[in-house]
Amino acid sequence: MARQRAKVLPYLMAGPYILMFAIFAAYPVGRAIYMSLFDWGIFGPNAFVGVANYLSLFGDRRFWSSVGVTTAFAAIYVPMIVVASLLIAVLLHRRLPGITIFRTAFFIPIVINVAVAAIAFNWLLAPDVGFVDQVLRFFGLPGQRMLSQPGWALFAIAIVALWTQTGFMVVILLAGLENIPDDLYEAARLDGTRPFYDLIYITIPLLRPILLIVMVLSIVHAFQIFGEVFIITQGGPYGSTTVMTMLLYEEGFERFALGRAAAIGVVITIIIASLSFIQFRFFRRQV
Amino acid sequence: MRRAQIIRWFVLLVLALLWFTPLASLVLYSFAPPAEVLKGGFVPTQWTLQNYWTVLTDTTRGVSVPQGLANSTIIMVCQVVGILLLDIPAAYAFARMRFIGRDVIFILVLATMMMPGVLDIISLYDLMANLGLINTLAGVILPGLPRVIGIFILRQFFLEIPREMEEAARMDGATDFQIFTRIMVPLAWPSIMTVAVITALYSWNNFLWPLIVTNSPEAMPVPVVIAYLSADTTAVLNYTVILAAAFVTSLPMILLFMLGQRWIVSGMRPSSGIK
Repeated sequence: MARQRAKVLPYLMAGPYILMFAIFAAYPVGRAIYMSLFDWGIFGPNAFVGVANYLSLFGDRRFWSSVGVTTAFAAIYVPMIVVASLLIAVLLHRRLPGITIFRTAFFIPIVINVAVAAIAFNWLLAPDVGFVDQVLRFFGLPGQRMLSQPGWALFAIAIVALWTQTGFMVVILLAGLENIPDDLYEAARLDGTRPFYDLIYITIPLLRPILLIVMVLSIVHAFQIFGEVFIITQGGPYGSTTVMTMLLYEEGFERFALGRAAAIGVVITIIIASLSFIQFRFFRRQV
Repeated sequence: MRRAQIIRWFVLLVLALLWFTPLASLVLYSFAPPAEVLKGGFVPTQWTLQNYWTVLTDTTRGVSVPQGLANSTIIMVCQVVGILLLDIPAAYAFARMRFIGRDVIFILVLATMMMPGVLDIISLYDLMANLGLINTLAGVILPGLPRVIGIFILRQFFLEIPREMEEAARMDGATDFQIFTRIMVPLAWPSIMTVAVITALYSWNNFLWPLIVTNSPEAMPVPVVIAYLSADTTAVLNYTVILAAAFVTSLPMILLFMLGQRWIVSGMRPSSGIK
């Protein structure tokens, strides 16, 4: 009897989670791929179209434009966040007077949602009266109206993402820094090196696996960027911030072409998966 | 302090001030009369609580912040409780019990965790429409329940508990279920707190899915309410009200940050989660 119960128990314990996982995680993933093969409207599937959704995407100028915008965004955002979070983590690593307040400054955006962050930056970047334009004017420069200029708008979105995500990356990097033995720095100090050399020759090489994680997470984030764009620029000006997720949203919930939208989701997933794979391969060989 | 330390301190000070600026400016102007927005300057010259009064009483914009706060609270409580109830026993079973398909299922769960959220957003919407859950709190809550991070953190913890502890309890006549409830769960308390806190954060701040599954105030959580407020073009005249709404709806999470910072940090470290 006891043996019998022991065999049933694991199923009772894991079953409810596995059921929820199957319905609301595994099934939707499979169904996404399935839907991408249909002409699927708001009331359900109209016709099986095979890979036609993908082909029509690849022939669509708006799709390639969104790929370009997303890639440009990643190219701006990823180096920025890797450098900023590494710098901040190294600066925060050792004790200093007031370090708790400094930590709070970088960590508090972790708990702020993207809508609030977008509101805060909308206000900072407001034309003429916003903080940024006022600072520019203080230095005798013209206000930039960053959000209404195609080149600047994407950069502004990257700054918002940087602000919200850096704290998270700093937490990860600080955990990595704690694992580097202090002896290494002391030995370097005895040899009379400068702090900058410590960073180049000790910190960065030993942090490599963690830096890789930070980079992969940031690229994954960059290719899924949505909330900031949706609230601050709605993809404008002139489509200059219409990232792939924004196109997915428009196809799915404004034009109700659900099959096409699902196909965009699949393409984003393939891009993210390939980039992550390439990075892990590339870096593993170098370590 | 040595020279290097002083330089480090000043660089940190400048960066920290930069990082504080967006929120500081938001909070300052949330206490300013609407006209202050057009004046310029970095700090308002007049102060008022009017914006907060408007946020908490006015529903003329079609969405309501108090309703949003209520919705977000219900969603958060349901997801935290639901995820703990699902994850604690499941993580234990994955870590320390044998059952058919255990490893295959766990690999599937991990693989799904790597999938970007945008992959299944469309099919999830379609599924929810078929279930009649569009515009309901259940529609917001349910897809969050299979989140993998809790399973991952708790399983990691349960794996590290030594076998001897379990065997000693069994010698004393404890059943498997008693071992789980009387010994393992109390031991796992710090990991359970971590999962609870990071789930609360996710739940309150999640934006994309609630935006898609809700389109009327009855089910909208606060980030979606904020997005609707800011999209309302007539609201441009009342930007200070939006700032107040943004701050009010962030307060619960700022409080959580102050009380639970160590749980948040431990939930984000590579050793306990995130790949």
